[in-house]
Amino acid sequence: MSSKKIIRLGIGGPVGSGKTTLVEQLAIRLAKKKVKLGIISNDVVSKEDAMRLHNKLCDELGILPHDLVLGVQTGGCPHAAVREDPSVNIDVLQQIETSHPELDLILLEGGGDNITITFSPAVADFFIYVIDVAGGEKYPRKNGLGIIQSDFLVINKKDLAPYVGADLGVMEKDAREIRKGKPFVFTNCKSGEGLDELEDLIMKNVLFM
Amino acid sequence: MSTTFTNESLLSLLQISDSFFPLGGYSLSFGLETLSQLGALKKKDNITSLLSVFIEQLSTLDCPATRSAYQAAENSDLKLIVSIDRKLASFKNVKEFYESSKRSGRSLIRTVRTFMRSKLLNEYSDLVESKNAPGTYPVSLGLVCHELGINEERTVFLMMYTLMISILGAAVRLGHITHVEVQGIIHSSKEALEDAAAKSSTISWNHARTFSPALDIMGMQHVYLQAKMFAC
Repeated sequence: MSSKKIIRLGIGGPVGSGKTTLVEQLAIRLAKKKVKLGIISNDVVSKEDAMRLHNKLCDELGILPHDLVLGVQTGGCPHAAVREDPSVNIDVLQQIETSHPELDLILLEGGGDNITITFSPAVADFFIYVIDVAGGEKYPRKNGLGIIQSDFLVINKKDLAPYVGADLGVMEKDAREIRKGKPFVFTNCKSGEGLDELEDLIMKNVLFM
Repeated sequence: MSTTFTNESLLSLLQISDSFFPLGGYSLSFGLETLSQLGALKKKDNITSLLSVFIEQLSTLDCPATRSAYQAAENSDLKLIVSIDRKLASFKNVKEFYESSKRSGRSLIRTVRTFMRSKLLNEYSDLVESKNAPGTYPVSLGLVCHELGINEERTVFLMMYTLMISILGAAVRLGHITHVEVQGIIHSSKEALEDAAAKSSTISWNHARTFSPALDIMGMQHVYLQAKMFAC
């Protein structure tokens, strides 16, 4: 029996960087391209993010059924849940993959964490690391594993740069240096700026479409 | 019953009792989070009291299940292992406790299966994956430890210790005790664990029981908490 491999794309980053908004926007865009999608949202406290995704994607837009948007509580250990001991996520991934073998992609949103976050290959084939300019222009050069190792770096909330004294030119230069050729994208997930580019990267490099 | 304790079995015991072993224990509080949010965990004494109730419940239900599964594994009696597993699952009337036990059990057997050859473990694992057996943690552990050459007594201690650490880890992360105080609690619980292990050896699986309505209610209320860090 042959079964299609469902690609798993992790999305990690600090609290408030815009991970859930990014997941929301990617889900809407990928659904328009007929990508069959499931979402697992890890949350350090509550299932707030999963509920928000339910409200938006299942109830308001109707692009996903409720059983394809699942929440996971991480017991205050968001990094353990996607890296050192991802057993809880593996269980949910297997649950969703068994009940929906037709899926092309699962977005696995990690709980808000710090710059050292990476995803175990057991739970994510690729991962996006999300930071935002309000965290400071120094962020890309901080050399965290997430910034260096992620397949795609998203620098979100670019519209806030003038208000927080962040020089996007410096961030771009540092990101280019640190990432050594790996892609990074400046976005404003609220307005959609930069998301076309990210979507293209995902379609070509993750979904091979 | 095997009484030898080789260095290899010691290392196996250390391996699967280590918090580094993937069981998802960091996501479990077994009702402690509910008590915390209700403001019922103001003192360290409250945590030790809760812990003693928890250990008592382990001694009359989970430990006898582990022992029986271990003994069934000695006879390669897969049918009996599944029967113990199903009965234990039926005792877990708090949905989140039930789901967490199955999740930890599944993770245990999936992981051990990747590095160890065992016909019995493979057959049981297949039944769990095909949802023909629940795969509760105490039963999975009994089987796995038998196959790893860890003796029955130490298997029972391992099970109690692992679950106790989940609760105490939750207490530290919820801010009720410090990282140093928790070590004192672990030390002072050793006698209770020994008593529980001894008591469990006198309870046949047919007479296994559990009665902790307050703990069960806390567990059931957990699902309704607005903000929570833990899966149960």
